Order: sequence, then C-alpha cells, then structure tokens
Amino acid sequence: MKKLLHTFLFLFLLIHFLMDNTSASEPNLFSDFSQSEELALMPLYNLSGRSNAIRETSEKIGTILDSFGIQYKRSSDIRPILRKYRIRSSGSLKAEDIDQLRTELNVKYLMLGSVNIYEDRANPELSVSLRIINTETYMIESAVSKSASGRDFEGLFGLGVISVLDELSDKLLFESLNELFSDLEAHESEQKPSAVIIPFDNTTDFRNAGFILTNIFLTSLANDGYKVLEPGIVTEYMLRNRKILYGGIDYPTLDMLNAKHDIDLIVTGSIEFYQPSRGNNFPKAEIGTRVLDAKNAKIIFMYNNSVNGADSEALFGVGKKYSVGTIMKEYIDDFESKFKKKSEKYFAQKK
Amino acid sequence: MKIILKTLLLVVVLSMLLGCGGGVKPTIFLHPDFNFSFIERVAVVPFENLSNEQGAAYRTTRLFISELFAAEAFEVVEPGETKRVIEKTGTVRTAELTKEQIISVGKELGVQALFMGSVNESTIQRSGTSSNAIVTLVVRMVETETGATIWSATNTETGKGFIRSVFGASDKSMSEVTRNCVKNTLRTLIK
Repeated sequence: MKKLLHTFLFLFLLIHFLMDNTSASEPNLFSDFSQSEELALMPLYNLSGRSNAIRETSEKIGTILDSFGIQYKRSSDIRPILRKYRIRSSGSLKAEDIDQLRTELNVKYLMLGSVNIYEDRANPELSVSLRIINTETYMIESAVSKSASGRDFEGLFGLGVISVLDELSDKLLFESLNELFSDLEAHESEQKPSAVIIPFDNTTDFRNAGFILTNIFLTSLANDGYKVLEPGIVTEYMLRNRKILYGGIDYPTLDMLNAKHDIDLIVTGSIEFYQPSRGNNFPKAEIGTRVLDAKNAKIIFMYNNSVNGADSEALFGVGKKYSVGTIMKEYIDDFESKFKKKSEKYFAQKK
Repeated sequence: MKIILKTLLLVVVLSMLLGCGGGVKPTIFLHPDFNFSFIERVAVVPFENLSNEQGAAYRTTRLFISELFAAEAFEVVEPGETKRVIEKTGTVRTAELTKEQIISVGKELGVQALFMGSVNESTIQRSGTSSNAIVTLVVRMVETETGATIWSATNTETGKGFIRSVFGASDKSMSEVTRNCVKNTLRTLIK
C-alpha cells in the first residue's frame, strides 16, 4: 500500500513539474524606466505575412510593459511623427530617422522589432525579435529573439503542449520582454567587440527568410554582449549609393563603415534552405555565415550547417523542435560557441 | 572447393561495392612546373550556372569558399569584394574571363590566383519514392600574372551509393552531395 502511495506521489510530482514548465513567472519591475518616458515603442515590422499579427502582438506587448511598470511612448503617439518625416520602415532605422525621433520624442531608447512567424493552427507557432537601440550611439543595447511552436513544450506523455496561439504568445512575449529589459541593465558595463550584420542573402523560395535570419542573428549577438550597429545604417548606405550587397560586402562599403563607426567585426552570410514545419514534417534550414575582421577585411570564420527539428530528439520524441525559428536560433547558438573559441585565439594572435 | 567459392563470393561483393558506389573519378589537370607555394591569396569568381536549378551556382560557390577556407591553404578574398571587381569588367560569363581581365582582376584584388568554374549539372532524379541528387562541377585555377591555367578538375557526385541503394538508407540531400562534390574536387589540389 505504501509503495502504491509513493508511486502516486512520485507521478503527481512529476506531472506537476512538467506542467509547471509552461506557467509564467512573476514579473520584474525595471526601475530605470519607471520614472520618465525614456523609451519609445516603435510599431513592429510584419514578416509573418499575417495581417493581424502586429495588432495582436503590439497590444500584448503594451500590457506586459505596463505590468513591468515601464513608462514609454506608445506606437499610436509615434505614428504621426513617422508620417511627418516619411519614415516608412520601422523594422530598421536610418541614422537620420533615429536623430529625428530622438529630437521629436525626447527619448534615449527606441524599441524596435518584428513578428517573424505568426501561425494560428493546430500547432501554433510564433517568432518575435525585439531590440532596444540607443538613439545617441545607434548601437543595439539589448535584444532578444524567441521562437516556439506549441509542440516544443511537449513533455512526457504529451503533457505541456500549447494548442492556442494566444497562450503561446502570452508566454513567449512575457519571457522576451523580461529578458530584454534584464539584459539592458546587465550589459551596461560589458565591453565586447562591436559588430555590423550585413543582411543575409536569401536564396530560398520564402520571401522573408533572409530578414528573419538577420533579425534573429542580430538579437542573438547583441544578447551575447556584442555592440551591434543598427542594421538600418547599412541599409541607408546601400540605398544612398544604389548598391545591392548581395553575395558579401565590398571594400568601399567596409571603408565607409570603418570611417563612420568604430566596427570590429562584420557578420554576413546566406540562407539557402528554409522549410517551416507542416503537419508531421520537421522544420529544416540551411545557413552559411562568415565573419570578417572589419579592420583588414580578412575572413576569420566561416560556418555552414543544416539544422533539422528532429536533430534535437532525446528519447521517445522528447526534445523535437517544430518551430523553424527555434532551429535557426540553435544554429546561431552553435555558431556563437564555435566562433567564441576561434575569435579569442585570433584576437590574441593579433595583439 | 570451399575456399574457391568463398574467394569468388568475396570478389563478387567487392566488385559490386566498387562498381556501384563511386561513380566516375574526377578528371584532373595539374600544371607540372608551377610552384604552388607562390600562391598565398586567392579569390573565387562566382561560378557560372549551366544547370537548370536556380541558385545552384551561388550555393556551390559559397560551399567552395567555405571548404577552401577550412583547408587553411590560402587566404580567401571576401566574395563581396570579388563580385564588385568582377562587375567592373562588365562580363556576364564569369567562367570565361579573358587574359587581360584575369590580370586586371588579380591586380585589383591583390591575389596570385583566381578560381573560376561552372556548375554543369545540379539535379534530382526521382524514381518512385527515392530520389538521387547529382552534381557536376568544373573548376579551374588560373594564375593572375599570365592568365595560365594551373589546375583544373571536373567532378561528378551522386547521392546514391551501393549501400544506400541496397539497404535503403535515407537519400543524401542536394546540399550534402554538393558539399561532397566540392570537397572531393578540392582534394585533388589540396591534400
């Protein structure tokens, strides 16, 4: 009888533990933003192809920021200024746009981002990228990218699966914003190399695959402590000089970036295969990245790999990934850990 | 008698393994008199696409640069810069640069040699539920002082081998086959 009771107790605790993984934690309060409106929330950029993605995600972000006690200028207050200065894309900002927004809104930080994937289906999927840029330095101060599908939370016996997009977005956005503001406070004293991400080439059939990868990459690098230049600055240069940086970066562009901004690393690459999860098919992606030393234009690191949602399976289906955003993030994490070793050696030799 | 039978069986199995697995060996030309230690810095001119698959040349060029970089034999120029300099020559067929163009591109990029090539075939043959990726790559290396070809190789790789055909192992993807093709081609130059 005792044995039976113990078994029941063990099972109860196990199930409770598995279920507990999906519940949201308590909100933090971020004192830096609770006194004055130093932050402006820019309208998010829609890469998902779903018309309702921005409205629904922005509303939730607003609610979460309020719950954190953060004072900020809302997207609705910013839209007239965007119209006034004809700032068309809020997905990335040019230096001139950042200056105008700083003057008009009198804010130190701008929060930008994109909804990369927004799929309301039996296995819902969401991917968001958010970043906070300093309006004085144009550098990304903190960034986060989160992607998940409902089945990514599947534990033993199929427990923990999220089948409603609303629930998934609540969880993912809360985690994203919590991380974004925690990192902003943590990274203030860190000194890591500065980097520029040249938008990744897209050779897939999926229109926004390159932008999604670039967004996840830059948030990941910024999150890791690198000082990342706002990608709109590079886009601005390309537009002004009627250039298409497809296939890599040329030396005149590199010289321009070096002259205007103190850059250590250039990160670029391409995405060649992008297949979101459909039915029982696992998501797949194939990505190639290279890193250049911005001072001498030498390629110092290259990393190509294919990632598949089934690769991370541990046992009995646990650990499989059904979100293409998650597997792209796994590739980037893998890239970062390998690059860390290589770059330490390279910069030590250079000194 | 038993020994003869066993030997015969071994010969049959070996010949099946060798006959069905490898396909055609790469065709190679290596300049007999050229001193390859003279080459320190190279550039890879974007490969030309002669196949029906869109993006095959882009993918192969990138994998080629990556393998070249991994071999640590030469310093490789950033492909974006190579593309800019090649565009200045106004040529469309990047696998067929003239001697003057090779010399001028080499000077501007500061390289001792250029890799040029074409993807002649990049296709997936389907038969029932199985598929077989085939890639044919033709690459050559020209030195930028005289424009002479110092290395050239033609290689074809397929995703099907004997083991995969007989035991039904999963088919190799186009990317895996391309990577193998690039690796085996480069192996004829860099050991």
